[in-house]
This record gives sequence, structure tokens and C-alpha cells, in this order.
Amino acid sequence: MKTIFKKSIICLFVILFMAGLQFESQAQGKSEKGKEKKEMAKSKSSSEISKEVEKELESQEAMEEEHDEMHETDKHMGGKPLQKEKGKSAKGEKGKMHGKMKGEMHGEEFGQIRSEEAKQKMMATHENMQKAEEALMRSEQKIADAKERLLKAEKEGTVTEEEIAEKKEKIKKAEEKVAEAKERLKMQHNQVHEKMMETKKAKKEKIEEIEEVEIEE
Amino acid sequence: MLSTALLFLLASCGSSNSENEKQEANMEQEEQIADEVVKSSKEAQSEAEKTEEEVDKLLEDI
Repeated sequence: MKTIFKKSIICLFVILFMAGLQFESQAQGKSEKGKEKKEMAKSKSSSEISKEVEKELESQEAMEEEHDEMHETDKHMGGKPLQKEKGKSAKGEKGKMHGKMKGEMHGEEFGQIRSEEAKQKMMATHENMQKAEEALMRSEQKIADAKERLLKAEKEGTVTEEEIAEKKEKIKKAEEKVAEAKERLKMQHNQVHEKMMETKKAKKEKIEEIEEVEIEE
Repeated sequence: MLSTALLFLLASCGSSNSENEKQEANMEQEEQIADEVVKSSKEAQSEAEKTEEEVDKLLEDI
């Protein structure tokens, strides 16, 4: 009789212990989810946030398209310099792009969706890519100027044929270097874009998960 | 009875730990990707600037 009583008490304790542990783990999970929700709910509901993320993804795609178009125009120009077109479009379009970026990325809403650190990294990435493109455009401008100067000198007859050939060779080398650099930049741009989209997708999935949990509850 | 209880105990501990680990791994992965992106953009910028310098050198006497 005693042994049965002892066994039943032990079993009761074990069950109570298990129930306690389960409750604790559930509470932990809920508190973590609760924290996430609170953070999100501070600003807006998750549906609104996901809409904003979608909007941002769309605008990002639009920006990429614009950028691709810029590259396309580069291709169509062939070996010719880009300065005339860039003069009117580069500043204008870049201004627009910067405006878009600032409008979207400096806003409080954007900051609420992403952490400050991630935002800074995104901005730094865009700035770096922009600077790289600008450097290559400057190089193309310099090549075009050099070509014009050489043509002028050739017409005036101030340089010998040997000098002209030598300078033309240098211009050709410079053009090759810029073309190679543009190709590399394009590849790096694609890599950066892919990685950024990867991060965005992951974040979007996270938001969707939170939404699902909310719906379940 | 005791062994069953032990199994339940291990399972409950294991599931809560794996969730935390998953979350941490996701965060780390995101940070890693962001760092890689910044790094490659910096590389792109420095390469473009280097090309500009080379072009300057080639065209200095033209």
C-alpha cells in the first residue's frame, strides 16, 4: 500500500514538473512573439507594413529598370562618348533617383520597418554604387574631351602623324579600360542587387509569418 | 512512466531551443548578407576610381 502511495506521489510530482516546464517554454515563446508584435504595432499593423515593403520592392524594381535602361543607352552609344546625353539625363535622372531614395529611405516609416543599421548599410551600398558609376562616366567624358582635342590638333596640323598615332593608341587603351570596368561594375551591381533582394525576401517572409501567427490567434 | 516523462521533458526543451537558434541564425544571415553587399559595393567604387586614375594617366598629354 505504501509503495503504491509513494509511486503515485512521484508520478504526480513528475507530471507537475513537466506541466510547469511546458508552460514556461510556451510563455517564453509567447513573450518573444509579443515583443516582436509590440515593436511592429508601435508604428502600424503588420498588413500595412507588408504593403509598404511590397511598395518598396516595386520601387526598387522600377529603379533597377531605370538603371538597366541607362546601361542600354550606354550600349547603343557604342564607342561614342556619353557626355551629351548624360549631361541632360544623368543629372536629372540621378536627381530623381536620389529623390526617390531619400523620399523612401529617410522617412520615419521606413525606419520603423527596418532597423537603423540595416538602413545605413543600404544607403551606403547605393551611394557606393552611384559613386562608381559617376567615376566611370567622368572617365568617358575625359576620353571624349581628349578625342576632341586630338581632332582639333590634327586639323590644325600642330602634331606629327607619329604623335597622333601614339595618342590614338592611348585613347583606345583608355576606352578598353573603361569598357572592362563597366562590365565589372555591371556584374557587381547584379550581385549586390541579388543579395539585397535575398534580404528583402527573408524580411518579407518574416512579416508574413507574423501575420499568420496573428491570424491563427 | 518515468522514462516517458523524461522523453517529454527532453522534447519540450529541444523544441524551444531550436526556435531560438533558428531566429538567431536568421538574424546572423541577414547581417552577413548586408555586410557582403556593402563590401562589394565598396570594391566596385574603388575599382571604378582606380580606372579613372588610369585613364587620367593615359590621357595626361593629350
